[in-house]
Amino acid sequence: METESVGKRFYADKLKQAAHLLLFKRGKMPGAKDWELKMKLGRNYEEVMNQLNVVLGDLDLEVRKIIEESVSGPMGFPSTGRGETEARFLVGLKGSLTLREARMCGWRIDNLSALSVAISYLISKQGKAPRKDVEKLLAYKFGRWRAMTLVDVFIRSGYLNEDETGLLSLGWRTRAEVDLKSLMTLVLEARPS
Amino acid sequence: MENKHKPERVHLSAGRRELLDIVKTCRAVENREFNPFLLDVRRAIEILRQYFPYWKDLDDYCLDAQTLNELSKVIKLQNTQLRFQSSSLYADPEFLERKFERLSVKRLAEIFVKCWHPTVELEQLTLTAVEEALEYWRNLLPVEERFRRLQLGRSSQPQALEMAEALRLGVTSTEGFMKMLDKVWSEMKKEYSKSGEVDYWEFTLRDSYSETLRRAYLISFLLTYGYARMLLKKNGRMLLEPYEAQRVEDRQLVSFPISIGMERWKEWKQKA
Repeated sequence: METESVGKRFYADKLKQAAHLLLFKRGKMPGAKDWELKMKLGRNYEEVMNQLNVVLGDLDLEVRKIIEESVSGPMGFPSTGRGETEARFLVGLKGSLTLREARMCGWRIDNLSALSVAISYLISKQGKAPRKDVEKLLAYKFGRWRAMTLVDVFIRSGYLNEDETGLLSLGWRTRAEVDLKSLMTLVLEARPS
Repeated sequence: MENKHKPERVHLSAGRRELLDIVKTCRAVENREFNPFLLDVRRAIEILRQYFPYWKDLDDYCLDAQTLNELSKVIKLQNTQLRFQSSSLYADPEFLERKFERLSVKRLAEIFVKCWHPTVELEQLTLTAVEEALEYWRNLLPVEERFRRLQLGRSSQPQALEMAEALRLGVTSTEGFMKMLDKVWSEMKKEYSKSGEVDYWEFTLRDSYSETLRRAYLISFLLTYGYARMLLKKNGRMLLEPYEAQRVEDRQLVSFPISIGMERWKEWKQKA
């Protein structure tokens, strides 16, 4: 009986520790890397993550695992042959927000709209496109000056990446937060209101 | 012997040019400027085969190897494209562009939030952030130093200002601000009903530079408060369209900076 309670407390402590590690931002990126979790929570950290996922599920939250850029393919899918050696665990929203809620979180409708255009266009171009093409596309709806600012904002927040040749690609945040298949389906099915 | 070599030299330089062209095209494909299938890889390989027996210099062999390497990258991209086209993520970029043009900003945002599951992150002070802040304060020059760089000089003590002097400087006006806005709005509506369009510059530019600035300032308020809107034409013209009554726009306002430089005003005045 005593052993069971000790075991439960030990497990609850690990869950708390895992929640702290995932929820509090400690570096530039949120969440924690797999090796970090292994070091702090022990070998069975994946089991702790699963348990945390169950606990957070009631709050419409979930634990997500994303493959770090160095080992993932251009569209964010793991590249074959190299294995999932570097993964990051994050806590994200399981469901989705309403437009009103998104606005209350500080997002402008224009920004969300521009982000959806930029991401879908990059997907249609297999994950990479010149920055000037994306800006030209955004400029049609948001103006040239605003298009440039928006792309900068998306790069800064991790939704897009830019390489030294001016090619834009999908950033870590897009891969972690956006359901790309649904986005493409919804964009293609959408009718002007 | 001489006669045999001459045409070969010309032949080789043409070959180098062709190989460099292939490398250039391959790089354009890698930078997503062209569709990878626009490059005829078979023809490129034939060109490589055609010139390979004639290469003698190390540089030429290197160019040959480089071309082959670039071609292999294009083939890889072709393979990726085929795999991508067979996936559910495939959509024609041109079709998408047309779609974006037709869909409203709000509709696009609605679509996005449906498939967006944002990350939960609690911002807090991190060791890196503290280090960055410390570094900033360490490198920040004292206020006196910074002001010296700006060459502001000594500032005078605050003094009382007579009403007449304030009016002369344009700091205050006998007319109320709302009254001034109303005046410009009525003027804009009158102009619009007369000619059907109000050109921004024609409406703003006036004989004195200060009056021009005053009008630009008032117009910006009319636009922000929903008394009028601005239309940007493809030819760069900016048109003003006054509303009959104030409208509260549902969508987000967009800031649009317009520079009203002295040069532009002078240019306009000379023409006028």
